[in-house]
Amino acid sequence: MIWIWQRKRQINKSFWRRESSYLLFLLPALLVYVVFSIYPMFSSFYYSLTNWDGFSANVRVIGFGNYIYMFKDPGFRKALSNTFLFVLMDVVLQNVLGLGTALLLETKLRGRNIMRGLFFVPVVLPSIVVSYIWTYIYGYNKGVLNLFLEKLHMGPVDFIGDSGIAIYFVILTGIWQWMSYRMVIYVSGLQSIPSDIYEAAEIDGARPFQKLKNITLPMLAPAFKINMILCMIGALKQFDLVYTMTQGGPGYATEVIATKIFREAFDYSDYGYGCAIGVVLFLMIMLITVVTNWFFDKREVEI
Amino acid sequence: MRGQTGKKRAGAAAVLKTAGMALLLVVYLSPLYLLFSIALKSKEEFARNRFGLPAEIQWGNIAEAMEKMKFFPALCNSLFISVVSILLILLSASLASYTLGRRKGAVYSRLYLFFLAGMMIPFQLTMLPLYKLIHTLGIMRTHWSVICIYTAGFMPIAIVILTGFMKTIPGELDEAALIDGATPAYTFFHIILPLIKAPLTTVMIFCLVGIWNDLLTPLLFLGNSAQTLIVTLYNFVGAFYTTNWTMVFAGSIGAMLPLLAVFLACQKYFIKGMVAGAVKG
Repeated sequence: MIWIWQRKRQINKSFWRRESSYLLFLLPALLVYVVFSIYPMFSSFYYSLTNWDGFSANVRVIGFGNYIYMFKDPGFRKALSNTFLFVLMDVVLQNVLGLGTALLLETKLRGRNIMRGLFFVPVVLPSIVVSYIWTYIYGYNKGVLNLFLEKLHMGPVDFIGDSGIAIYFVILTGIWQWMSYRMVIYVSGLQSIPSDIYEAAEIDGARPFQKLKNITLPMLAPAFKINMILCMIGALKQFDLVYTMTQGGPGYATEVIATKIFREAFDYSDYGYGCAIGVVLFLMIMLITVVTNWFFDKREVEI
Repeated sequence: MRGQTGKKRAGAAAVLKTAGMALLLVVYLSPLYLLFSIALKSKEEFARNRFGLPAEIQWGNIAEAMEKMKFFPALCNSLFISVVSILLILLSASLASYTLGRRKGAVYSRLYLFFLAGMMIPFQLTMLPLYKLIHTLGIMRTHWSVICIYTAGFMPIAIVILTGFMKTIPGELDEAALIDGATPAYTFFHIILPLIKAPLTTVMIFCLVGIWNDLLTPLLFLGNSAQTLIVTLYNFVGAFYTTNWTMVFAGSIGAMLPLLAVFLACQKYFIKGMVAGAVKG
């Protein structure tokens, strides 16, 4: 027993010596990552249990008070339901539009690579530029949409100033911007399907719709998975468009989780509460990543 | 005969499809047409002619917006921050991935998982403690605040992409060098580094788009003199021009053009990088 233990120690010692330069290679990455991601994450867990105001050194632990307050805070409930609306509409519309465009682009077309590149342009634009363009289009006073409505003797509609509908138009802006990202991922998924499967199906007399349903969609499962996860996480973290188009307003009508954290910390100096909302956001992202992976991995076995 | 008409019909269908797709593209990108056409109109013309092309192109608008928003210092800040962050990410992540992807041991597989888990950490969770940390470190309002945050933030995805690639390099290559007495550092810089240009490009593009267009991080951590192009545009529009659309869009063109130009020049790499970044992550 002691002999084995000693032998193990010897192996261990030589492991550390043998690997010393490789461990050194890890050091810079590890250091930056721990100091600027992991440590702040654990700080956030801690501060979420306190009444930290961001400035005073006097931080008091108040237990789960911030989390309990969250349930009672109508502002948080609004932010949560808006965020879920974001997730739902993004997942459905971005994927339907992205997949549809990808399928069209992958048919025989002239100049499809150029078209794919042009479709992708909104993805590399800064969100704030996108939000200025659409703020103009949605404008109450002589915005593009209202000029059209005027021609039809309707309106005007205050698309992003009316608290009942503003959130939908902010969400649509994001869908315009990000749908092409979904598209290029589907395109690369489509390109990875070997063409002999289609040829075999054609010999067996499969109709176009059958090919789509029985070959294309199942073979796209990995692309679906990536797009679902990215779409949901992107929607949960959404900040730029809301912040620049409506600042969460009018009132709290378009508040989402990310703008809520920002407002709690930098407008109301309630950093502790902001951290608690951040923890909830983190838990939701973890849940979505794990559940989506599990869902698709389970189905991949079936296929 | 029949074959030929069939071919002709297929050709006609292809032309029709291409035309339909082109039309869809035009509709999809029409907001960008508005952006460019309005930015290049005079204010008086914009009041009369909201949709048409400018009668006379007003390059002066862009010059005026650039001057008022102090474009060039902001451009330099953005460039400095992007370049330094990306270099730090590429160097530290490829070194770490060399170890994680090519050495065996439980320590390494656990460390890999430790990095992988970082992909789930949203910036909104860490930003408030970071505010305090950056303050304590005395780098608040300097370039280094956001550079450190970006380097840490993009580390997980960079390591996942690079480690995945390292595993595909045949082991004989560096083992032979090591047996010949080369140090691990020599092997990394002379043998491995030249082989991983493709994944390094992927990481570079993925980080560049994220860093260049980011609003929240520089908004929180940078002062006016170190501010990026995007936040400079945000302040410019907020302070003066919320309703002066020619100026808003002229400034927007200034802020978006550098990255857009790089994208249009090498869109193939961009799309490949953005897809690989998403798929591997």
